[in-house]
Amino acid sequence: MEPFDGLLKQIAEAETVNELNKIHRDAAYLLRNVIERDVIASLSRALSDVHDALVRKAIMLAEEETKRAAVGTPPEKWCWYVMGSLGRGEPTIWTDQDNGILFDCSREQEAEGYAFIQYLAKIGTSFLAEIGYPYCLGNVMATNRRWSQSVRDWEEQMSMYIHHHFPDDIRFLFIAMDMRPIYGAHELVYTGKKKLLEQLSSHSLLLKRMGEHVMFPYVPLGWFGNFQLERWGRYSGCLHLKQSGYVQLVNAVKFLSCVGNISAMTTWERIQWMERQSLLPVALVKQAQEAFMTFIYFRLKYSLEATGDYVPFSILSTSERARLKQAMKVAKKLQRVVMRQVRGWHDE
Amino acid sequence: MSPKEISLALDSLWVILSAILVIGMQAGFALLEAGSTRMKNSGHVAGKQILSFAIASLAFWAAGFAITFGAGNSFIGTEGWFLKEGKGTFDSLSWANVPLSIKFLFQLGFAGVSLAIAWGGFAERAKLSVYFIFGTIFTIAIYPVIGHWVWGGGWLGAMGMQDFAGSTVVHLQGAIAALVATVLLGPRIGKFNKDKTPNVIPGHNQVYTVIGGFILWVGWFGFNAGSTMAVGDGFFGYVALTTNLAAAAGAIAAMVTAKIIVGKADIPAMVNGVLAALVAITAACAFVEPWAAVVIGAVAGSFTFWTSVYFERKGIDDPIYAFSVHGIAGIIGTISTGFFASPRLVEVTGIGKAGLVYGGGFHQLIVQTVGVLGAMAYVAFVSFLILFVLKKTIGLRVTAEQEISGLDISEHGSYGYPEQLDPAFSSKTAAQ
Repeated sequence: MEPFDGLLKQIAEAETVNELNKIHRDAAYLLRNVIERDVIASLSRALSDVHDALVRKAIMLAEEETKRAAVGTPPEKWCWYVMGSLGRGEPTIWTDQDNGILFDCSREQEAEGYAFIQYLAKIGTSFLAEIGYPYCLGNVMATNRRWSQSVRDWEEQMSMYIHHHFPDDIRFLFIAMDMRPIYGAHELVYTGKKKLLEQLSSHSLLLKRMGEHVMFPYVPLGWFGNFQLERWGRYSGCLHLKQSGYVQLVNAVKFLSCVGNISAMTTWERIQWMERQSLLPVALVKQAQEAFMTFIYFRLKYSLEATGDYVPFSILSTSERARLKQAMKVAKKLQRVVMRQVRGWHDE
Repeated sequence: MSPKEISLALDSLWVILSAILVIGMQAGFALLEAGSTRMKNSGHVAGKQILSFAIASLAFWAAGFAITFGAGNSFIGTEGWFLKEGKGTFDSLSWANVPLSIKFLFQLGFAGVSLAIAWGGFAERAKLSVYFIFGTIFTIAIYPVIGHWVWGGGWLGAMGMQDFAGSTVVHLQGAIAALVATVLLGPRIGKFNKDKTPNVIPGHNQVYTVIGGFILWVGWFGFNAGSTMAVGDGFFGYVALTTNLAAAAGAIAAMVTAKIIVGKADIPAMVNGVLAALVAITAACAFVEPWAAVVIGAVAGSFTFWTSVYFERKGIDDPIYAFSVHGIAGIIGTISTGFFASPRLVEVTGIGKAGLVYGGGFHQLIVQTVGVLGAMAYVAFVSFLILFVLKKTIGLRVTAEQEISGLDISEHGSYGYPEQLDPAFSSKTAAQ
């Protein structure tokens, strides 16, 4: 999208973290001026490209810094990847960090490789924080060993999650489903994810647990179509931008992709694949696409305000409320689709 | 024994049993309120229930009962101080065939409940001295006046107001006093943020809240069914039936309403729904058919959840939602007979006329509305007057430091939960 093309050029030319931070803020300013419902799909993609470029550049700088510090030995292949909304290519302007590193090398070099990527992770995440990507409160970051490993260790860990499927394991698998390579040897992530998906899609008890995970949180829409607003606290009278249908829709689609062994990275592509593979009725696919774009619009628009993850219900216009309600209904419907699917599978 | 003597014996036994049930409701309030408030105030909140009933017992014996039921004019009774009985002194209760001592104990239970409700609005921040002063005045100058208007031969009773066991006389009165108190005291520290958004101050023990609610539910059989003050025709059983149906409908309606409005099947909301339904059916229990009892209970249980959320959004900190549960539901219950009083039951009780849905016209509805408005105006005015004077003289509220420390330690010198709250004690326990 045109307004962001200039930013991409600036990112390519930038040499310091400070410059990247300024570009990030410029992107927020630009977004405020161009946000319109009609162009939201292309706008969201363009914004995702800007984020990708910013993260890629930050990690390039971090790599240089790490090499200068001469800590450990760079592995033969390594890849910085992102997860969460960045991974799915649908981030808001101020999004927190969800990232990790995968690397590959011989067993003998593994210890040196870990030393290198751990240092890189520390520098990379701190650069990203300086650019305007807050640290992840849930610690889904490259500095966490869980998300920065050799391919060998990572596969072993995923296999453990798949076989134990404790509640946290399910959560981690859902997070891993959004891995997307940003910088380095992309094939490490592609191959890893492909293997992961193949295992997931063939493990029906695990899929049942994952499906059950999709039921929560409930979409905050009452039986009479009333919005269930936050009752207490600073955000009393507000709607949570993420949990008011968006995350439920994203998770339902992610789950159905798992079932269908669909390796698409973004929610939008996953929905399209579902149509191609007839995993969902055509009418529901259309509704899901419309609902998804509504959520993207709301998240982009209101994340620009200083209210964080919440939007005061009172500032939404009548038409915005109607659109949001429709989208929330679709999210509920998708949760029901998942629930019906899961009910058919019995515990082994 | 003659049939008359047997009747006297059975009625007396029934009414004293009912009195015990109603007085037992104090234990329900103690658990309900303590469970619904914080650990640091639990001893105080529970303990003041005994204090409150003690104050009510003495004040009602000395003067409250005389003003409520003694002979006098349309507004107050003027005879029968200290239960001194003369000719025609307590004619207003002559329809009940039991000794005066039992009538007193039963009616004292009601006055005690009304006062217990009022304290809901004072919770977690009022001074102990205020409980002594306001408790005494409420039991002498507030509760008995409305009691006299409706039950003691006063003007509302003469109009044919239907308030069988006191949706207005007991509950609405207590609730209005609670509302005035909570407004004059102001919100608890930490309840509202600077931008006026409310915070949750959760009760410390939901199990207490539930058990308290259940004790009240059982006590209500004494409250409503006992108000027949007779066993002869078995009508008390019918009253118990409508009471129970309403409570059940209130529980379910409140939980469903909470689920719809805020998305959570909230347990304290369900308990409050039971109580709101019981409050509402209190006026109507002898006048309405079972289906109407279900409607009244459901409407009260559902609507009061909504009002408790609404008042909180409007900046009123009513710690245990006393005004919604007893006030709004009291209004709903009193007005309800204007719609649902059935001709059959009006004939049985001999009070007022049939309601709107039975073709009785607007008469009873108007009488009920006048009763509600009259009671609200009087209680609000006198409560405000007393509490305002107290606020300007001795002060209503403990200091911020005392409130933060908790009323257990600041007003009574020891914690309800020492191991959890007293550092000295907890370290000793840990060492053992």
